[in-house]
Amino acid sequence: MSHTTWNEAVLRAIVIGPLAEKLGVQPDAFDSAKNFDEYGLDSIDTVLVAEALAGSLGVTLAPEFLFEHRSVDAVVRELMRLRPEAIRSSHDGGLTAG
Amino acid sequence: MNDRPVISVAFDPFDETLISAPYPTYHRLRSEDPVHWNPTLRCWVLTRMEDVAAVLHDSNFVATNPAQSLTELAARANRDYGPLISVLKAILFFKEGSRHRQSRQTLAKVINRVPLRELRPAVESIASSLCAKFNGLAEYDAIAVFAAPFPQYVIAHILGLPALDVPILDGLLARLTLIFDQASLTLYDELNAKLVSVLHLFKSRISEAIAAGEQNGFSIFYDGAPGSHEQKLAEAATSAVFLYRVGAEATIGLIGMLFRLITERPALIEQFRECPELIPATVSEVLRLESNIQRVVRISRETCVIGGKVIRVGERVMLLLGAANRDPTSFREPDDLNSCRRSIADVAFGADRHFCLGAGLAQLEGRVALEQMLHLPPIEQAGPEIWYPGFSVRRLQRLPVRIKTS
Repeated sequence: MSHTTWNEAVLRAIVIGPLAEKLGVQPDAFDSAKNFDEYGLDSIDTVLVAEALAGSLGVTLAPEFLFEHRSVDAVVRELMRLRPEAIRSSHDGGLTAG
Repeated sequence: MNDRPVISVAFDPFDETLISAPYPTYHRLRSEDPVHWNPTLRCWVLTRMEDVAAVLHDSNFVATNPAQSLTELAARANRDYGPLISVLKAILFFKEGSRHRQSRQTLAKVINRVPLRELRPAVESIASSLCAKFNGLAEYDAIAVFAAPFPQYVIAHILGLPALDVPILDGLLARLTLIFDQASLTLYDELNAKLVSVLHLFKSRISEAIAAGEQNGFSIFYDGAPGSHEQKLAEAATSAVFLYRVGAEATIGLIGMLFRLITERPALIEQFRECPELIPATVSEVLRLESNIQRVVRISRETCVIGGKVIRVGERVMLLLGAANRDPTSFREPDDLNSCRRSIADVAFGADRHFCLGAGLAQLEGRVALEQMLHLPPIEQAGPEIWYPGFSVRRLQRLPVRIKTS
């Protein structure tokens, strides 16, 4: 695949994945509006989740990305705003078209 | 009682304009919210000289412990970050108490082994031989050919490190100080892997120096370290990495900014020729204006009040040194380079127990660099500069210049 498009529902699922796993929450029970701090995500786990998320998305995320955007809604909103070309896509795969 | 403002003045600590041009933001923050609670960093951000200096001088504000955080991260990520953690532990400004005092004494012995006035000829010789390599080139990157290697060759000279190791170490350590910012696992992996090679090299060089009975910076670090031969070797190597790269970093920044200054204001060269005593004052002014270390974080050990805000025990306070150094309350027309400015203490090198031990050396290198520039043909900037992508360390990473043709 040479072109990557961003679909909000797919993105949301990808973002929730590593968070749900780290926090031990069922993905379908994850509250997208809830601040990560309320889930007890500390700074070290934030770094680990960011790494996993960047891997899932196939992009490089700025190290501070998940510190600046502290809920799934905020992360998805920012990713939709940035679009892949702004996040330096690291490979051609990743998200499927919506 | 909650002193944190409900509506906070916007300050994005990761705004990329802070890397190249932080000062407009600093001025705004200082005037609107000088003791600012930042929800992203989850710490206080101070911009006034009065507050920054007070925290630097207050022993109730202690250094952070990034080695501890990285140890926890390594455990959770199932990584071996031993080399990187050992280097973080060797960084003097993260130490406190008796460990800090002992390490500071040893480092002072290394840096002061040769008094600055006796060191000057060697520093001049390093500078002129570097200049000889690029003088005559029509176009060059002032950072790559001079600002970056110069302080490293000087530290190599002080340590007793062979000059041939400098280009190798420059490549391996160029991004080391990004660990002072929020970093990714990918960056930690990269830096840790490079430090394996760096520490191996330093240990070899220290072993050689000890075996040959040489008296140099390496032998002082080795003699000052406790424990067995292996332990002494390991500690001397990490201390040497700290001095070599973290110590050189601010000077790389200073000299890069001096180069930029003479491309922007070539008339200064003539002034320096006519009035060489302007050189030291100009170096001090550039240090104040550009503050190569921009961010320092401290933790409050006691609840206290700064600027009417309650700082609770355990809370972190980020000091924006570059903002304090341009505080109009301390410096009239703070954004102007004024080599005749009356000497007022700035915080470019920190203060008090954490005042940079290399301050005198950095100033010497800045002066020698400017003196060398007097002998260069007039230069101008030949393309856009590139900034090092750090928020804590601010310096040019690339500055293309060319010889003026007209």
